[in-house]
Amino acid sequence: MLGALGLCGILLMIAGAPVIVSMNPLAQDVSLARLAPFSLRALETGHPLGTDHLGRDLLSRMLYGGRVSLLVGVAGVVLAGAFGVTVGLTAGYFGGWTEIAAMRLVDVQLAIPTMLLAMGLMATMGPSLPNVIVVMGVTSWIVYARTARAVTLVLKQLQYVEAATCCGADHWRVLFRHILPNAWTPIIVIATQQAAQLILLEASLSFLGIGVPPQIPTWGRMIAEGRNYLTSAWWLSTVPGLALMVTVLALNFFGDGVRDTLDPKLRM
Amino acid sequence: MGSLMLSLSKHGWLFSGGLPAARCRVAERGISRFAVEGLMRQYILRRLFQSVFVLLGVSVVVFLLLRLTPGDPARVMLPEGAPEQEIAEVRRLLGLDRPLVEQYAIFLHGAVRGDLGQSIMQRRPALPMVLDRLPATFQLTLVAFVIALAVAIPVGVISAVWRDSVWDHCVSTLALLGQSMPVFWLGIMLIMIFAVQFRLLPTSGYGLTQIVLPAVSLGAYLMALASRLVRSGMLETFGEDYVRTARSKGISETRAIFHHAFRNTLIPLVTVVGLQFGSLLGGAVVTETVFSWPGVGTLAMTAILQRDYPVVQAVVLTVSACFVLINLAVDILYAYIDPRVRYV
Repeated sequence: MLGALGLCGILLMIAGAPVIVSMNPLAQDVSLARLAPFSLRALETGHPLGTDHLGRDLLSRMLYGGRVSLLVGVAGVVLAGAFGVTVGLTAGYFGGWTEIAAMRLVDVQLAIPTMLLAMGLMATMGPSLPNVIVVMGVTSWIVYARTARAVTLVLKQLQYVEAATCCGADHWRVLFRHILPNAWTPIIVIATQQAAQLILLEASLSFLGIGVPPQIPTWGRMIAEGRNYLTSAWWLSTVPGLALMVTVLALNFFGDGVRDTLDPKLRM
Repeated sequence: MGSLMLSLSKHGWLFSGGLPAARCRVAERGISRFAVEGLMRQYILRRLFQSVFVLLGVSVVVFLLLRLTPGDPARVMLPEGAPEQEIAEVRRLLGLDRPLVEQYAIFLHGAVRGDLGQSIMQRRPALPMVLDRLPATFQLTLVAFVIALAVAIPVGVISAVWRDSVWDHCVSTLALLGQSMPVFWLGIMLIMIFAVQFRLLPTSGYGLTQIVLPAVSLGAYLMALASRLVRSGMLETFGEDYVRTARSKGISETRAIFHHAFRNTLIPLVTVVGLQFGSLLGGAVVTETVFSWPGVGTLAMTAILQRDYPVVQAVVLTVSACFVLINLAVDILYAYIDPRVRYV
């Protein structure tokens, strides 16, 4: 409940960014550079959370940056889930060489640390928002594939699947009409937990300068830009970092709640 | 994880003491000790064989990584306006003018012989550049690992023993925060507090004092995860019949906690912590950038920014190979702790 409420609050703030803030997140005014949050000058000039080294409003950059982070997290989950679940369902249902090939591919990818794989892919594909989403999908599909395969192995033995086959349903109808609807529970649990991990991964890539392009504000990039001003403007890295942590915490709480509701056996 | 621990404890498998205890039990069933040792040997050989296949698969992925570059990889690697002659030379150096299968055969042949190509920028072999930096990364990862477990295990045990106390709630909250905090942001906050504000530790560099802050920030996630695992594992084993029996026999609470309950928490802890080592290696890349730690992470970042793809390939392949070997060691250790794994 706490996670859901927190997440709703964050989503509302981020979606309502144009209403909450009137400042353009990209507008620069060097004369107002590095204003401290809640300082008199910052409040007078309409920058409640202060400004960065180029005079850009921190609150609007935080809200608009959150849009990018959440977009990447959700889109990455959808992409990874769609591909991973399809592969897992197919591998579990057909078995044989399909299963062997799919699971060996999973084993190979598991052997490469996720951050290194993401860095390698971004290095070759180049920085852009669609590329970041694709990399999120590529690095995280294996969890869905393994889970979907494990669930399919159990479900395909059940009588209703056998009955559907006897009634003349083809393999794809059995997979997507009968098995998939009953396999959703663990997949949804994983998806909610993965969203938080993907947001952290995107922030890490943006922090390293190989994520989304520099003109798009993201929390990771804001933290990286604030590194050079730790002594004179500590808020530049602290504020977006807190926003990132609170969002991931809310997602983790939400994911725990979804897990406890849908599958209490997985509770830790 | 909870269900795994439940099934392990319900089947009555106490901490077996590894191979010697397993030998005693199978001797009772008339199976020779040679069969037990043979099973272990078979398991190790099977895992070695699987590891070789996984490494081959990793080599294919790493090989294809460079080929994912949109357009001509040779042209992308060189600055804009580079002469065609130079582009052709780079293409020849990387073998990009040959068929794909031949390129992979050359790449694999070279990898087996320790030749992972040449750095475009520095014009020297890529693998020695990576091997020079690898010890620093492993030092950082190992220290982070040790710090994480040294804190997480006692904290988790105390949280389990003092369940629902103020300490327990504080630890649970901190653990959740630890799992939600980005590694690089925690590193920056530690720099701000301990290096800038209080001047207790250095901000960057390579040395005994310089390793503290990066190791703590790198190990924070594992610390949080492991403390939660230990706590939940201990709580499950506290309710088991064998722990109740041990207590009713009059042994001290300390012995009941550490000799009986905690030892059976080790099995799933080793599994999860072993899997997390890969995350630590990946996280080390980001941490090294924050603290300017001279490991493979900073080498990879420099290579990426310079578009020196042979070095990027060498880093990914070498670190992945290390990860495969570490996983192999963890699996063998796990089979030694829990003999049932050898039958899988």
